Amino acid sequence: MIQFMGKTFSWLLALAIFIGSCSEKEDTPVGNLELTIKGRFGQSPLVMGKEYDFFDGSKIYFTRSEFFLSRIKLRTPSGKIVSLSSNVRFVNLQDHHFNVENAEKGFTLIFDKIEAGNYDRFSFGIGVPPELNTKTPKDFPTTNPLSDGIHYWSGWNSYIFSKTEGSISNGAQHELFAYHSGFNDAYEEQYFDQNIVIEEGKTTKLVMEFDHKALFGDLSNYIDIYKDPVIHEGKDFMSVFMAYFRSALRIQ
Amino acid sequence: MWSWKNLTFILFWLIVGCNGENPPGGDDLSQISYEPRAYPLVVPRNLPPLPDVPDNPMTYDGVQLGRHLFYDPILSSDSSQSCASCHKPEFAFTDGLAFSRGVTGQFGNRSSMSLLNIAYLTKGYFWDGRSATLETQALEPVENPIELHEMWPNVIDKFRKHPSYPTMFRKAFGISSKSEITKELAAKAIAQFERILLTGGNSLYVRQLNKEIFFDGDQQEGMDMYFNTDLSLPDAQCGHCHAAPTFASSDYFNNGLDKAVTLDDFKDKGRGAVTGIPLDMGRFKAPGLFNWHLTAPYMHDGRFKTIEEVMDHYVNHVQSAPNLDPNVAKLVLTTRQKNKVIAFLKTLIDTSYLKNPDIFSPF
Repeated sequence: MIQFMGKTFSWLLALAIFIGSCSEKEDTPVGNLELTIKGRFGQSPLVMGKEYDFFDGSKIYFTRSEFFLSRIKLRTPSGKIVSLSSNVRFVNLQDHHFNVENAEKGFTLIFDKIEAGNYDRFSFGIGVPPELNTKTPKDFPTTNPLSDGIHYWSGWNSYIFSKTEGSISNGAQHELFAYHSGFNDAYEEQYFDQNIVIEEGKTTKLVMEFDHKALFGDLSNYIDIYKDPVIHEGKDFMSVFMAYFRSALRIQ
Repeated sequence: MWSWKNLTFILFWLIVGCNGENPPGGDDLSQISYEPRAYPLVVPRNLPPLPDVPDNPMTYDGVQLGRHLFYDPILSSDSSQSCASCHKPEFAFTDGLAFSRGVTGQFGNRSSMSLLNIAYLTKGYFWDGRSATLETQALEPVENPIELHEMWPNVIDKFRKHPSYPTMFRKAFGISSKSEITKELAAKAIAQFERILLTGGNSLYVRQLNKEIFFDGDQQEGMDMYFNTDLSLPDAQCGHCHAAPTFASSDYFNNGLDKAVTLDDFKDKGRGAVTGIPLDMGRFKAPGLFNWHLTAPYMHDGRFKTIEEVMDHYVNHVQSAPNLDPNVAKLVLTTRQKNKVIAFLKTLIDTSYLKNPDIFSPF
């Protein structure tokens, strides 16, 4: 009897393994997407510590530029949404954009095992989405960037979605600025309608530019950094800044 | 002249050497049992779970081996110093000095860092992050001429001839022969031991978070300024670099210790000497603040003897530099407010780690 049960179990196990190996998911051809984010200041590559001309003629340079991307997705022409990552991705430009050569290389994120096919929209969120923003660093293992307390601001009960820091001067005035964003209200979603083809076994490359001049507005309407060098507290100001942030991103 | 310390070591190893599991006289260790079991690590409350380290999982025997190596002066050239000479439990695993003295009597140029909660660091070890992992960090002090001033081949030779270490390496890593003892395995064991040095879960801060206690007015206002939660109070800006829940950071900052007109002007280039990135010059890691009261003197060069001097620096003496962190540029706190921030910092004291017998010398 025991022998019979053992044989039956073995057959069932083998059948389960066979069925499992024929699942649709494993048969689906997949490819990869390589997203490279390049910091820019207007048309120039962004080099940390290098001075650029601000809208008002002031000299501005950056010492830190980092942010989270989340809800990164592709959309097929039929409207099917494919999520590229279940987690957030942390983008740190300051450790990569320290000279022109490296700024031109940019910061690269790899997304693998994407269903091969044609897509017509690339979308993502800037910051930590509300469902994760209810958590705190102690909820994540240290392999996850959300475990690092430096990305969390207890005073807000929120992750810090982005940090943009640097210095601006015009001879008469000099300010260090620190623009940090957070709160669910500041979470911005962005999308680009673009044909993207993922081919089986291949890596499709996508380049996104992040213009640090447009981050502060445009010539007709820009943030007065001398007046507001810090946006740790002001939610309204933060929303304005994040709207600029959203429009400072462009697909090459 | 034999000291009591030397005699204790000899007595300890005589006793341990008689435990009935001595390796055979030859190279072979395969007859000794190897039954790895996970180390029963207790993560302090409010701290994140520790990551798995796939190539160095923490085992009971691995931690015990690391503990022995950490406290054993066999790692130094003249058997006078161990890792614990500069990382003493009673000083939160620092040594209470601005600069540590190595076996040759030479002083180093950086202050000994606390090892508490070091398992949470993710972006390099040492003040300048020059070691990528805890395992590679553990390799360096042995051959540093101003620290243990020994050569790893000599240390390995001492391990292989030792009455107990071959057995302990076998039990920790399952090696089959003494010839398989390597510096990498020794470093792995030390790293396993260092990962159990955790603190913070019994601090007043965590107890307050768990609503077991309530802060008094000074502690509450101090915390509000630390995290900038009460906009009617000045922002003490501490939390940007010493961030909860570990009150540390894996990142590097210029906190205004030294004036620099250009980025080449820093005498100690800190992180910049490692990366070569200009903006990293003069940047250092922000250490954890749990049990800060045991880690004086403060900063990478131990220039401040008291926490009051530290606060005074941030409020009155921050020096300009092209990469000065903007968050420390404009602190405006009265003496009373500084004292309230210090009152909050005192809630980060948690010496309950000293009750863990596994962190002390086995000798």
